[in-house]
Amino acid sequence: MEQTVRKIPALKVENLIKYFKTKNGYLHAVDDVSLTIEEGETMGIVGESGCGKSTLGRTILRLHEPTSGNVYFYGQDVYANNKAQMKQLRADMQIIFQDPYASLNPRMTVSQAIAYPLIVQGKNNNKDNEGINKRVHELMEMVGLAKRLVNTYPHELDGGRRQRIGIARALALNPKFIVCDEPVSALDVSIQAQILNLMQDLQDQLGLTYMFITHNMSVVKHNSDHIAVMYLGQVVELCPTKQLFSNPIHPYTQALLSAIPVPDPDYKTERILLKGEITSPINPKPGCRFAKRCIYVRPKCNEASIPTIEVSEGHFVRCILGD
Amino acid sequence: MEYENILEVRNLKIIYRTDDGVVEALNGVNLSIAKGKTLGLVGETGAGKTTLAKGIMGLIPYPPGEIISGEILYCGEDLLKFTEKRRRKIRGAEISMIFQDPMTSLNPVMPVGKQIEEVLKEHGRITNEEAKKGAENMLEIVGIPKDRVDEYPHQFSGGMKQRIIIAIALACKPRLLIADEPTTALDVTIQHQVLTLMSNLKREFDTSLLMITHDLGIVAQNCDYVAIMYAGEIVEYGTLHDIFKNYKHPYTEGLFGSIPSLTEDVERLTPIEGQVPDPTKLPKGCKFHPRCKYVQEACMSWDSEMYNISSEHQVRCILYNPERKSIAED
Repeated sequence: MEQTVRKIPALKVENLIKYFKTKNGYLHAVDDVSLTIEEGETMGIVGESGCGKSTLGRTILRLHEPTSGNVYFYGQDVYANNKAQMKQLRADMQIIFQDPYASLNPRMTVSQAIAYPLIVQGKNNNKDNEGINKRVHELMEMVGLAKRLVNTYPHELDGGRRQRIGIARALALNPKFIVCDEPVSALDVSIQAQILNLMQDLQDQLGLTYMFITHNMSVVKHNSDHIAVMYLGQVVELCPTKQLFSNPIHPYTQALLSAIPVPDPDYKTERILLKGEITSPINPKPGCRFAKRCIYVRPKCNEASIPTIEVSEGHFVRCILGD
Repeated sequence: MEYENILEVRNLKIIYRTDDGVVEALNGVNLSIAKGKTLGLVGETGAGKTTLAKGIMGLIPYPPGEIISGEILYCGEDLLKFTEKRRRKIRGAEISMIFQDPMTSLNPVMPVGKQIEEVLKEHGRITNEEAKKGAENMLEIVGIPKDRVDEYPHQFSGGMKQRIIIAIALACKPRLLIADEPTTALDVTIQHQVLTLMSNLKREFDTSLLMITHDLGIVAQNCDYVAIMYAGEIVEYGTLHDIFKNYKHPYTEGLFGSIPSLTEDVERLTPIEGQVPDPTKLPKGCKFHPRCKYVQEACMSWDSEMYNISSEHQVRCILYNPERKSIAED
């Protein structure tokens, strides 16, 4: 029996739903999201604040329990795992957080913070201080932290160095997949570029798969292979990066791209000025969630929920105009 | 007195005395803004952008802040020589400021209408009735229905709060508006709305604008002139075109190399190595030399000065010293 070997995707998300119960009803943070990330690729997740991109990342890692849906990590059903299995799996799935000022324990030194995952997972014998120290030094070198900083505390370091600790910590257990939740948003541009280059190098060296969450379109254009655009809990457009920028189909994607200020005074473009703001994600009405702000809105948009259609190979859009 | 520029800052030096030593926040800043024009002030965290804005507003806390030297000429008169009473009259009425974070710069226990009325009453002899009308009018101008005048800040979204702050800042039709990162906390589509609103109002009221930001995209789309700041100094100044198409300073070059481009495909970013210097221990000579890829022996003992590239384009870098060049040629 000859069959072409199909690559197993690193991550497969199917109809993932996460609602939060609030006083006024259910907040639809992630609502029916499906996507696939191939090994060694970067999937960019973009959207404005409150669109559910961080919740998506955290639910995939099971830092939130999902309301429904499935996530497969190299074919393994993440939500079917019991606690012990989950702990094992966490070594392979890590996260880098947005705010390097809040995500580090102020009372832990650099080496303690980086060593902590090793101790928790018991990868090295807890008494094997030498082994742990060796690994910590290796990691610090990998992310470009000077050896002399090994006993410093986070408050002594600037944002860029702190974010390097966060990255070293995420890499400590040799993960295969990392959710990067706005890892450079809190940094100055010159430092941001250093960190982006570092993450790119690490991906090439270690064959990592990234899910890169950000609101910065130029960053995802730079580092992602595919991009998913989210609006109020739903993925409204998903396609290869080049295609998203050359041929955006969803009206929200078009507006989003046109609103980015381009650092070139000669660059002129037709700018779409969106009216209104993101509506509440609590008990949203059926139909298209973007309809209220959409310039192409039709009566049909507000009737039933909008299905996702594949307009061309690998290009998915959740809009009736896609037909 | 005749004056060309609405604002002229000359050799302004501001320090903060802290337990860790003296923070040299501004080290002799010169800049000017012509009537009706927009100057973009670009720099990273700790460059001194906000200190400069607060200095112009007269809001430097003393202690620990201290203005060591310099002049701030507003319409030809030095603001630093004014009495506090006179400065107070100007602040909010003629020079006004939009602060960075809309979430924290409104009073949470006061209806938004009252917060707009406050400025109007402070700076004009008007009745409560007129103040209320004025507040409603300002809300309408920034695109918020006037029947929301009695609502509290928490009832508005981030973009709306920022528009309310713009309404407060523009209520007295100031001649100079300082906007300190006015859209940093906002999403791009909302940012686009707010910036469009600001530029429309600026034209309508004929206001000059000092736009502080770290986003070169915003500068390119909104400013006439640009000043690049690093470690308390302006390192390059010029027209929008000078800075974006013909930049000279290595730091400016580094900034452009650091931003991922939307219009071109770049494999790898070329960031500036190293970190922003500790403001209590600024390097000697050129303050950028430890991170500069063109660094030379002479940079370390250089008396930092600005050199003219053209009548409107200046740069603070030894490479452009005209005298030095002639020596090299000999």
